[in-house]
Amino acid sequence: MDTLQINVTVNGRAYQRRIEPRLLLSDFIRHEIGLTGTHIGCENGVCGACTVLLDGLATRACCMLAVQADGRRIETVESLGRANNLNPLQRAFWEMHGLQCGYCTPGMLMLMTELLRENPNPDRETIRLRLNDNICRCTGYEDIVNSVQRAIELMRGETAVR
Amino acid sequence: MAEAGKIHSPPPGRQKERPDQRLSVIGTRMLRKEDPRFLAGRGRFIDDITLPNMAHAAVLRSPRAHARIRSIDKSAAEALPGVVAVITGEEAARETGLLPCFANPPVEQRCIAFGKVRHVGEPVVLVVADSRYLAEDAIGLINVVYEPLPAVSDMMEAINSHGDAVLHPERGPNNVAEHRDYVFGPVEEEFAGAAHVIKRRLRWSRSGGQPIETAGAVASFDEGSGKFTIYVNGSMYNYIGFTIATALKVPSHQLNIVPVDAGGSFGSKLFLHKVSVLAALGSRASGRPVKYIEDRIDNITASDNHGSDRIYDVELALDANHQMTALRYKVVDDYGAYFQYGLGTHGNGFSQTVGPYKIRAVGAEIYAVFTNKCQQGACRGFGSEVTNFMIERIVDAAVDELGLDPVAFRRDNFIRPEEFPYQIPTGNLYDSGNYPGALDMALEMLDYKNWREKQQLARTQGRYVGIGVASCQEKGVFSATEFWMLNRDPGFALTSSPESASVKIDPTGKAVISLHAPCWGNSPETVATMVLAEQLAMDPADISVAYSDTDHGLPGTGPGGSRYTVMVTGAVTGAAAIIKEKLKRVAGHMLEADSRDLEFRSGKIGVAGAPGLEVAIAEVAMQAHFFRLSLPDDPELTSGLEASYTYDHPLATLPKNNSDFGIFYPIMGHMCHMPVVEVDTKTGQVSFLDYVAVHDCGTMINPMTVDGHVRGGTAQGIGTALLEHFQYDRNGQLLTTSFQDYLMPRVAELPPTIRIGHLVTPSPYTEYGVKGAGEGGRMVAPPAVVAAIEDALRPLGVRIDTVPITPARLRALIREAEARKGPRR
Amino acid sequence: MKPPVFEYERPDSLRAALDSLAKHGGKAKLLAGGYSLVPMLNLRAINPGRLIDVSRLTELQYIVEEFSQLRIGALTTHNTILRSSVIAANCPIMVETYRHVANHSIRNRGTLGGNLCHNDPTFEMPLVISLLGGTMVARSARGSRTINAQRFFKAPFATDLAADEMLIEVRLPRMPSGHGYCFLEVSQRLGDRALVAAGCLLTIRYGACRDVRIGFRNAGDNIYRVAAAEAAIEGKPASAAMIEAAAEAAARAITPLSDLHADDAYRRDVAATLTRRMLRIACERAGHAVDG
Repeated sequence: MDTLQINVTVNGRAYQRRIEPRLLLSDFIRHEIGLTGTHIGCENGVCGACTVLLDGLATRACCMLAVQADGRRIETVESLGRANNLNPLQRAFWEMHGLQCGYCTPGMLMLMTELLRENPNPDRETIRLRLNDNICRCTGYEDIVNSVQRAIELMRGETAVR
Repeated sequence: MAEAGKIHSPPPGRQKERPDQRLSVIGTRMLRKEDPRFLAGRGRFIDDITLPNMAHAAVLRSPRAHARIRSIDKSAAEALPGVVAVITGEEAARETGLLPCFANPPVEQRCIAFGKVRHVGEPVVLVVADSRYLAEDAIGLINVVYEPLPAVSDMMEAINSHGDAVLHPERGPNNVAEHRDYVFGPVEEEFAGAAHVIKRRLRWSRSGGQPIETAGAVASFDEGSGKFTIYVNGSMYNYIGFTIATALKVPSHQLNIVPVDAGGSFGSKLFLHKVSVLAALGSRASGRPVKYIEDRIDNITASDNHGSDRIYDVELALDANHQMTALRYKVVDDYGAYFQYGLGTHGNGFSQTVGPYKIRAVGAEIYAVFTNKCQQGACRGFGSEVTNFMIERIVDAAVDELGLDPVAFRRDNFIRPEEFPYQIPTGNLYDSGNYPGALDMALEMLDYKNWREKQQLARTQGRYVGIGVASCQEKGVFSATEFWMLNRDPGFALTSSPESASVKIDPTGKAVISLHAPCWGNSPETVATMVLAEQLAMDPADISVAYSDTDHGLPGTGPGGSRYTVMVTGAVTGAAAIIKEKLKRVAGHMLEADSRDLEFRSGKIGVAGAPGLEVAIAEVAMQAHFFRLSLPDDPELTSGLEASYTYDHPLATLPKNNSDFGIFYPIMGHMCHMPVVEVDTKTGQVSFLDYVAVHDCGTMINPMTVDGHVRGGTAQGIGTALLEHFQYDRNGQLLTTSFQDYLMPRVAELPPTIRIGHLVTPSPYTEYGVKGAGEGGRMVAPPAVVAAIEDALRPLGVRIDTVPITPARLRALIREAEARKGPRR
Repeated sequence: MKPPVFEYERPDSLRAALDSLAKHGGKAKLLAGGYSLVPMLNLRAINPGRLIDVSRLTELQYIVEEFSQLRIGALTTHNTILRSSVIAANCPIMVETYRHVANHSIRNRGTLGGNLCHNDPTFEMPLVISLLGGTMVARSARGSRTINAQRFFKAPFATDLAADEMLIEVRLPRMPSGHGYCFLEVSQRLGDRALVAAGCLLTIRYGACRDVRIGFRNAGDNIYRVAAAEAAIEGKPASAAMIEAAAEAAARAITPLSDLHADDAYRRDVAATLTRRMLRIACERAGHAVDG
């Protein structure tokens, strides 16, 4: 069984690992690196729960081989903030009830992080169109859209944190 | 026989906390306790559990719908490096017993198919290896020889199956799992004397909860103590967890089940017997901890939790004044290969089988059949969402055929606000409600008149806009007696369905609440915190919540049946009452005041009316924990500050007979949904122009989380109405094996916003008057959406009797209708 | 759902990739974006002995505007194409189609070449490339050749590429400015596989429709352009009657299949509807709105 050595930066930290080529990026992140915030829903590329940022672009980690991330920069939900120090997007989800079971949430946060970096002021329709990428089974999405709109306000420093 | 109508001497309640008191925490949109860890990616889901030396399991899934297992050659798999154990059904049958089944007589199901397979996806071999990758490699090396048996996929054919097509020959000569007839009230009489009888055939297709996280377990077996530990994302471990021990052939005190966060359930994680037993079997066989997580195919094909799959022939009797008097139906329900909850999903419907209406008699003939499909389990509504669909569709049929107004007809037939508590023909009781009020609120929020005018205008422009109206019940808080009458012989006629909470306050005054049921996304920590904070006037930030395993657990039936918020509120209230008494006793001693004069205010306990005379809870706690000799010399007054309380069902009575189930599901919520849709008649696609949802779930602990459930449940209901369908072909092959084909709503399929209204009719029976809210959206959205589509297509005379109503199906109905009327461009 | 074992290599040049393909031929698969390939590996629907990862060959990521054609490198990602002002100006039908192609996350890494080579019968891009009269450039260690769209898209999930060939470029003739175009799709959810997809291109010269191209996806085995529908309006003035004739001709010509989401009658019906709708829009865009 051939293994390959890869070098990956995850959340700003460099890692070197020897892995099988068939190891999925989702499993690499969760079990090799030990960051379990990225979740697996379908391993089919449909639900988006495993969304991470690869060189800044939203990527479905279950549809990528870890070897393909060699030399690349990955950002996962753990890079956004800590439970006692959430970033504005996370804070907005908290305020606006943007999650219930929390399982799809990391994927949603990374997807929206990419959007807000591209465009700090998307309108509601733009948010919904991008949100259409990922499936949530709990919320019915409306509170997630509201959360992103609230995040825009918080990031602009417009209103006091609730 | 239970006579329908207002109960004039209602049973006494045990409610201690009245709904109409001034509250400072309960009723607020407090931010959730659960969120920070989930937002930070630090939840503790089943796949996040890692034990030292852990191995991984995978299952060889049956490719056949129905077949005898002739032979299994696993030698190549066992020889693969990294493979630790390969277990066949025969081996599993020596090590494990039958999986728990609540039908009586039970239907035999094993964790691994033994002798024959009964549906595509059923486990045939369990492989344990160093990694899931290797386990799947090994599966590819196993050679199973099957002898095909006739597969049954059509539920009507199943009734007449015989010979080798029978899935469970020990139960009888055909595939009828159960056939029951129920008569509640004077059904025959009412139909005989009816002025109008409306008939319909309805089809509710098989869909399911499909949470984004599948089911899974991590099990370890301690050779030294002979004890299993199983982490699992299921529920009911503190209620019937011992049945897993039975299946593992160990005494129940040799099994500890540990809960984890669950990534959604919608009923499908109610009782995860199979994954628990598989993981445990693997760990005992391999001598290592074993993780078994269903992948998406495992889950879609073999979750043991598909939803109801029914054909109804329903009749409605009305008198000359257009009052509905009786309802009669025959239903065939395709339960798939097993029957774990018996007719539970029909009994559920009996709790609200007349909807919000004054129907006085109900007759039901139920066929449950076996087919070669994944078995049914629990899916948000547990079968009563289908009862609601049946009722509202026949109501709409009556409106249509008699040329009536859908709003006025409902209003004229509602149980009136002054008629509560109201007994329905099955013996169940509706505790409180205001159905006309909910209807009026929805009409106003929607600006119904305005939409009717817009509809008229749209018709002149050749556009098809429709408004749907549906008024439905949401039962909450089941009593275990619900299950009695569904079997010929009740078997284990249990009557307890409690919920517990434990509260400890440490020496520094901080509280930990232990819950005995898991988090499914239903905000249990937030609810429990808010209730305790209210009770003790504590800062919610000083409260944390933990989850008890079965070693430390108290009775806890868990989330499901829209019961958990009501029951945990009762449990925390009960535990709080005990702690408050002790706190007041100690504080009274510290303040030299009578404990009866004390009140809780802003984290302190003080003399009512004397602002300076108070002491912080933290000080009292310190005293209670460490200064026993400074407290009164009363042996009942022990050191420490903790209390547990087991809260039993607030209102349940014993069933009397087959025509009177007693009170088994009385905490009755209500919804009125009004969607506005536009139909593209050329493509059959439906879009939403507006959506109003009025929900009555009594007193709301946290309106923000209630709204979340309304939106999420409504989204699932829209999915059920338009998109979701587990499709099997004639040979029992599942065609929808992935999320590519099992379609759930994304944001684009939903209304741009769901406008929510709250009507509050508190329960007289529960603490603070809370009612259930978890299932409501899914229990009313399907008939509301279908009604809206029918309304849009009224000029064409299209009738919709099947869900899901996909674009292709709807376009076919439109084509037929146009052919009848003559084509329009 | 984990992939089987395979050999993996990541050649650092096109030359190296082609040499590897020559060596391993039918036993190797090219890995580009991975959104078609990796899910199939997860399902163990395929078992390639070797993956040749070409996703980093930046030499094949470009959009070049030449006098008579556009040249798109096969490994250009969908989102790069979607955002390109060159594409927007020259082939707005591609931009319109991209609304329906998978979703944003998949388009971030999914490549045009990967999409065309997979040739899933519900994928939209093979239809659009066919309508645009695109030519595919294939290269192997043996040399290069160009393949027109009709020949390239051989059958569902199959192309004309030999085992040792790689698609390296897609060439699109320049469309005249002011041309009419439209792409419409009916699916159960936005972004799902098409139940039926339809596209058209035309130009209006001296009041008559010229160079009409009409095609569908998921309306039959390998239907791209429907000659009968095109002939119904080629050379004729834009009118409601002409559009109706095209719709009827399209409905008659196609041979749609039934599957678990829709039957053939539905697809035939919808193809006709989409023909009517897209021709109206295309004519309006070409400066000639149709009355009636």
